[in-house]
Amino acid sequence: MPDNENDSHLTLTCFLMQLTNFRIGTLVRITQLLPGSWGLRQRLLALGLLPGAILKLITVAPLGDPVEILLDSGKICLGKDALQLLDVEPLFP
Amino acid sequence: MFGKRRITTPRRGAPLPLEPGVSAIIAVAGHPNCGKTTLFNRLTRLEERVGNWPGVTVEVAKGKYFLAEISTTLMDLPGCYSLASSPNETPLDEKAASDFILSQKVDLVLNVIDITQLSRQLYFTLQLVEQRQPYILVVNTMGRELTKAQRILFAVLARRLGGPVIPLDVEKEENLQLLHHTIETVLQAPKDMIPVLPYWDILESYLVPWVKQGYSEASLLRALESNINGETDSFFKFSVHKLYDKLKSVLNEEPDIWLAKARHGYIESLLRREEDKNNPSLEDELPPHIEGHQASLDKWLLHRWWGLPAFACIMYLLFFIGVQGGAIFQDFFEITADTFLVQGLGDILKNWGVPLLTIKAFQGVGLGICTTLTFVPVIAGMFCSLTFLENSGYMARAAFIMDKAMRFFRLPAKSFVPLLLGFGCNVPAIMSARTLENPNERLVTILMTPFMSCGARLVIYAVFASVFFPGESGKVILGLYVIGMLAAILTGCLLQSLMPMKASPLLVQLPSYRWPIWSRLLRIVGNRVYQFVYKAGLVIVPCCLLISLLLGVGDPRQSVLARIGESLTPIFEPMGLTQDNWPATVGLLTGVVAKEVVVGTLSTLYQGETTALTTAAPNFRQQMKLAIATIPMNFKNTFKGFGSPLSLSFEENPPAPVLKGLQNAFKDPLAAFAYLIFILLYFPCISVVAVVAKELNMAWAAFTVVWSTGLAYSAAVLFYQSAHFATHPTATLQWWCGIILFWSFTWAVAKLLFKTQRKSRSGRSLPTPIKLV
Repeated sequence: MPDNENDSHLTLTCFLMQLTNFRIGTLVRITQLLPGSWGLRQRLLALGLLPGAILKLITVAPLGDPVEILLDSGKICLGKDALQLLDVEPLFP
Repeated sequence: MFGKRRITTPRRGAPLPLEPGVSAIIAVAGHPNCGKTTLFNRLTRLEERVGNWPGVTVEVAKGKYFLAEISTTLMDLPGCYSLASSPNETPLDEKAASDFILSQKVDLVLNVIDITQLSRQLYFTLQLVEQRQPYILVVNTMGRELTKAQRILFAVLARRLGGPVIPLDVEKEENLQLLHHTIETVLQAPKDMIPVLPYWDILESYLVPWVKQGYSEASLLRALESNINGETDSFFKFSVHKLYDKLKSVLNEEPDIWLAKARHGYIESLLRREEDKNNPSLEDELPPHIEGHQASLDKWLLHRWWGLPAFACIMYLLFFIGVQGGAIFQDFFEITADTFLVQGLGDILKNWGVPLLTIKAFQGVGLGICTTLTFVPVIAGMFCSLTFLENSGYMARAAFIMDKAMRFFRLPAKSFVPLLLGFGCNVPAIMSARTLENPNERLVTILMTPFMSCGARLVIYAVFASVFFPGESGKVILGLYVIGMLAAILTGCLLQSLMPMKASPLLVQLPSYRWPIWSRLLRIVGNRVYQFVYKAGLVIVPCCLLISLLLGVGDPRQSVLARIGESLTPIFEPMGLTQDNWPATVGLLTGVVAKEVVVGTLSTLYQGETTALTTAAPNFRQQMKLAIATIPMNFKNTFKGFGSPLSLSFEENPPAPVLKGLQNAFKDPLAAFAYLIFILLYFPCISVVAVVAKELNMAWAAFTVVWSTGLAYSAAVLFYQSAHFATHPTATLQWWCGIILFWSFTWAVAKLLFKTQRKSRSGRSLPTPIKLV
C-alpha cells in the first residue's frame, strides 16, 4: 500500500545475506519485513512469517538459494525474493 | 473492481434469498494443493470435460452444478494464500482468484482447507469472514478418521466463525450428501454473517470517519492490505493513505502486519480454546503436517549434497519409465493399427472394387489414426509416472532443488520437467507443462520444448552419422543436442524480452509425502490420453490424409509429393542440397507427419522401390503375432539399455543400399550435417503442433511452425556457407548479412506488435474473461 515500489531491494541485513552465518538447525527470529514486493509480503504474512515469528533453518538447496524452514509444524520453502524481504536475528547467538 | 467499491457496499443487511430461475454462483477457493479441483470435479461430475491437472487450475474452470431446486454455476478458482493482492506483483492466477471473490458476484464460497494445515489455512477463511462473504468451510480430511476432539473443534469453528464446517474426504463419496444439503440451505436462506472478531472491534472505531463517507469497512481494510497504486478513485486513495498513517501511529506497527498478527493470534486462540478454561487445548489434536518418517525422507531428498544426485536419479527413473516404458508398447500399437486401419482397410476396399485413389484416401485417414494411436502408450506411461510424482509431493521439492539453476534462464523451476521429457517425446512433454501455474511461464516453456531433440530425431542422426562421420558419431550427435538446447534458450530469451516476465517468486508450503490413490491416478491418465486422441487427432488425421493423397498411387518417385519436393529443392540449395538430391527434400516433407518416417522415405526413394504399403497382402494372424512379439522383445531391449537411454531407439543398422544411396546423394559431409541441423530444428512433427494448438491456441501453433522452420533454415544455411567460407567468401558474407537483416526486421515488427497488444490489454484484470450467466 505505501509508495515504496522499489523492486527487489537488496538490503545488507536481509535473510539472504545473513544465510552464510547460520548453520543448519539454527533458530532465527524475524525482526522486520523489509520493503519490496507488496504481493509477496502479503503472502508471507498469510503463511505466518510475521515479525516475531521463530523459524528453524532445515536445509539449504544445493545451489545455496532456496531454503527450507520449519514454522510451527509446517515446512515452507523460501526462494531468493522471499529471503530478501525478511530481516532476521539468530535466537541463540 | 476497486472502482465499484463505492457503489456496491457489501452485504450490509441480510442477503436476499435467490429468486427462482436465477443461477447462483459458487466459487471453490482455498490454498494451492488442498483438493479444490477434486471437489469441483466431484460436484460437477465434469471430470472428462474439464480435466484439470490436479493441484493446478490454469484458468478459471466453470461447470454446472445441479441441486434439487437451484441451478448453480460452480467456479474452480486457482489456489491463493491471501485475498490481498497487488497488480503486477501477485501472480496472475492468484490475482484472478482474489479479484473474483472481491468482486462480490459470488453467492457462496466453498473454502476448502487441508486438515493437516488447518491453522495456517484458516487465515484465508478469516478474510472471507471479514468480507461478510457467505461461505462453507470444507475441511479435507485427507483420508483420516476424525477423532472426537476434532469434531468438537469443528463445532467450535462453526460457532465462532459463523459458517458451516463440513469435514469431508474429497476423494470419497462420504459426506458429499451433507455438503449438497448445506449448500442448498445456505443458498435458500442465507444468513447475514456478523463476524465477532476481537481485532475487528479495535479497528472499527478508527474507520468510522471513512465509513461515514460511504466506504465499507471491509473494503477499507482490504485496501490497507492491497497495493492501491492502480486505484482510479483518487479520493479513496487519499483516504486509505491517511488511514494507513493514522493506524500506523496508533497501533505502533504497520497496519497490515498488525492485522496479520491479529488474525494468526485469533486462530491460535480458537484452537487453544482460550475462552473455555475447562476444556483441554484442541491444538494437539490436529494431525501433524509432516510426520516423523517423512522428515527423515526429506533429510535425504533435500540434502545440500545428496539432494542433487537424488533428484537426478528420480528424474532418470521418470524419464526411463515414462518414455522408454511406454515405448515398449509403441510397436505393438503401431503394427496392430497399421494392420487393421491401413492394410486391412485397403485390402477390403480393393476387394470391393473401389478406385485406387479412394483407397489411398481411406488409408490416409487410417494412417492418421494410426499415428495418433502410436503416441498413446508413451503418453500413458509418461503421465503415470508424472502423476505419481506430482501426487506424492516430490514435485514441490524438485522445485526447491532446481529453483536457482532455472532462474538463471529466468524460468521457474517447474519448467525443468517438460524440457527434460522433451528429449523423449515432445508431445507428452508439452502436455506436462500444465504443472506451471503462471500462464506466461507456461507459454514460454511450451514453445521451448520442441527444440529438445526427441527420440525419433535420434534415429535420423544415427543413420547419417554412421555414414558420414564414422568413428565420430557420438560427438556429432552430442553437438546436435547442444544446438537444440541453444535454440531453446534463444527462443526463451526472445519470448521473455517480448513479454517481460519475472519468474514468480518461490514461496510454497511443502506438502506431506503420500501415496497416490491409484484409481484416481488411472482416471487422470485415461483423461489425458482421451484428450490427446480426441483433440490432437483432429489435426493429425487431415494432415496424414493430405500427405497420403500427395504420395498418390504407384511409384513414389513419380508421385505429386516427389514433384513438389523436386521443385522445392532449389530453396535448400544454399544449405548444400543439390538438385539431384531431391529425395532429401521429400524426406523433409514427410518428416512433417512424424520424424520417424524420414529414414523410411529416404530409403524408399534412394532405392526406387515401391513401398510395402499396397503390395504386401496382409495376413492378420501373422501380423498380430508379430505385433505381440514386439512387446517382450522391446522389454528386453529396454532393460538392456537401462544405462544409456538415448542409444535405445536405434539398434538395427539400415540396409546397405540406403547407406550407399545416402553417400551418393550427399557428396559433402558438411552438407549432411547442415541437413541434420535442419531436421533438428524445423517444423516439429504434426502431433506436436496439434498439442501446442490444444494447450495454447492456433496462433501460437502457427508461430512454432514459422519460427522453428525459419530458425532451422537460417542455422543450416549459415552453417553450410560458413563451412565453405574459403571457396566463396562473398556469398557467405551476403548470406550472413541477409539473414541478420531479416531477423532484425522481424524482431522490430514483433516488438511493435506486442507493444500495441499489451497496451490494448492493460485494462484487463483477469487472465480469462469470465462470462456470468
